[in-house]
Amino acid sequence: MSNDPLLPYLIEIIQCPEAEGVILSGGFGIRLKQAFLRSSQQQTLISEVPTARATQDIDLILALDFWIQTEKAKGFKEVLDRLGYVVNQYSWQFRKPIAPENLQHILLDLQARQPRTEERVNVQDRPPQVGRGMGTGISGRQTLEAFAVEDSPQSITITTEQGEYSVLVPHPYAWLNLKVAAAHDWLKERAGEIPPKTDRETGVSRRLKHVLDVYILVAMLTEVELSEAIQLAETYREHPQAEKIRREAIELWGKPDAAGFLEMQRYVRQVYADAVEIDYTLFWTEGLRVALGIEIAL
Amino acid sequence: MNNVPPNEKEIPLWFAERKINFPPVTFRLEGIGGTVDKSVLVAEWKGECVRYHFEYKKQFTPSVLIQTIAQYKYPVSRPGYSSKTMLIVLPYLSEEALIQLDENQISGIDLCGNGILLAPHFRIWRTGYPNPFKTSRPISNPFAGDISIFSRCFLLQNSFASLSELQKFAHARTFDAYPGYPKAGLLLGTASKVVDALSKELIVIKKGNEIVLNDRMRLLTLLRRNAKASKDVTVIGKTTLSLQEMQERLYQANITGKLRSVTTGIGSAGHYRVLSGVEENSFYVDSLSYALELLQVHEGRAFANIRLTEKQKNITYFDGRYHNGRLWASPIQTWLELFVAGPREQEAAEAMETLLSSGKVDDV
Repeated sequence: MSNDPLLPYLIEIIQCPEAEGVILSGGFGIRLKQAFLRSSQQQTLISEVPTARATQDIDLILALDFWIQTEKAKGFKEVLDRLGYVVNQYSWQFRKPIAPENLQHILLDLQARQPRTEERVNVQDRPPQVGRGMGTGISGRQTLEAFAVEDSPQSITITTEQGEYSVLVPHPYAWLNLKVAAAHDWLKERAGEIPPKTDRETGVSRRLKHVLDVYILVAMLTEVELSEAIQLAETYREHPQAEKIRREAIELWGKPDAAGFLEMQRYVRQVYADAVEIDYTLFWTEGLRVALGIEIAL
Repeated sequence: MNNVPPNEKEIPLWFAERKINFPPVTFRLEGIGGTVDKSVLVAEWKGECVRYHFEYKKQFTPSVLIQTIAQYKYPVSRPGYSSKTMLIVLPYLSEEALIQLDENQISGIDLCGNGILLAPHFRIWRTGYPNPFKTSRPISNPFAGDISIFSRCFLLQNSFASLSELQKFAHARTFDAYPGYPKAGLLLGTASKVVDALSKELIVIKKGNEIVLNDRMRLLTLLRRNAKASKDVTVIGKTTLSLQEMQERLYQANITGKLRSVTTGIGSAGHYRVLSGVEENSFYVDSLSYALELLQVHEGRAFANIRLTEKQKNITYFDGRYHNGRLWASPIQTWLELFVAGPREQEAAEAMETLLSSGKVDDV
């Protein structure tokens, strides 16, 4: 883990006091959480699970506080400037060129949940950007599915030869909502409802990576986390996004021959040499369905 | 003579009817079986009888020759056998092929009268007999398999002063990391056919003897289109050796020619900073049985920390790169393996392709 090529770039951000409170999500977040659980030998719902992989992207979720107290967002922007990040898209995606000859770069995506009515944070449309126009130089891509992301984020420890660092990751309930929605986009893409994001040669949808991420997130659930997820699911039972995502999960994995489950198995077999058969009961019946509160809602 | 080589079952008859001659030696068949262990040929000259375990292969492409040389040179799975008692029989052996056999001290004869026969008290070399089995087919696909080594060379260097410079470059990138390994295959004739095929696609252009890359993007596209996911036998297991011990043993085996190994393309993706979370202890080896013993691997998925895949073709080992004592796959190999894996891996492949399209591959 300590030789992960992306790790130094995350650490240089999170060790800055101005970055306190940022939440790491995305593939790299999943990878770090998996490494943390393995090193701390915690018992998880599914013990044998493929190692999570991550490309050179860092996905950070900023709490609304960053714009409610605009000094926080300004401070974080200064950190990005200092570390050599430049704006790549709107003011939510940044890139940092790295060696050799700047041919490679780190991509940093900033996201934020939708502000509630009482929270005085600007949202500019097309596309929705949280905190845009507040003079901070950064915004967050508004992510409707991130409605629970500020609830109970978890601190994980990253151990390297240089020392130990802490970073926040979303609670599994919040993370699963994000990832199930992203995985469901694959079905929408198949139905022609949204523009495809497929490989030009193989035709494989890039969105399928989220299907595997859901499996790894479910596999990593600890007993305590599953109990907490049940409570969070109850809290958000009436939330329109939570309701929508529950339906999407059923569409993807509600039956053993559902498209999401079949594709998940195919992906694992294709990519991992030591692939194991996915246990449908553990994954769905005792895992995802419970964690999202689908049992309660149905 | 029919221009179709006989098959394996017809060979005893060819020996019996003395269609295979290698004067002044006379041959006598003692046994013939499907495997080298059961097929024995006795060569007699001036009262000396030498017994060879021999194997006939109808295919006589450069890759068949190199694989056979590798098997014979280190017959780890056949205790008691040595390269000196082995004899390769192929339909035709060119002078270049005979040189390769000679360099590796392995005997070989063909059905046309050419060959090199090594024995304790004699050494017979015959060449110059024409190849009646010659086909004038152009190569089928310069973007896949061992012959694609010549195509891949143009991603590493834009131009070559001549065909032989291209061949030298391909040889160096394929064999320099394995100095004790038999340097076979990658023939000049094959290089010429690949260059012809690339010229027709306008990927390279010829300026006199010089061959210059003309369309890097098209070369990348065609290599990508011809990439296939590996289906070779993979063993997963547990070793108690430390990473440093593993590296040291693999390095020693690489330089002494006992084993060829390299980190897999996917396993090298972290090294090239395009994908994290890959299992770096994934190696291609050209002899699974030797590697399992060398690295003290106990097969099984419990607490597995190493995976070994057997690959014998040169393309797997082409352009491997040492860094901190570890031999990583070529960035080209990494790119192609990522490309045929899953969607996240394909994203990483795109990042690799940016590097490859820049022409700065050796700076990676």
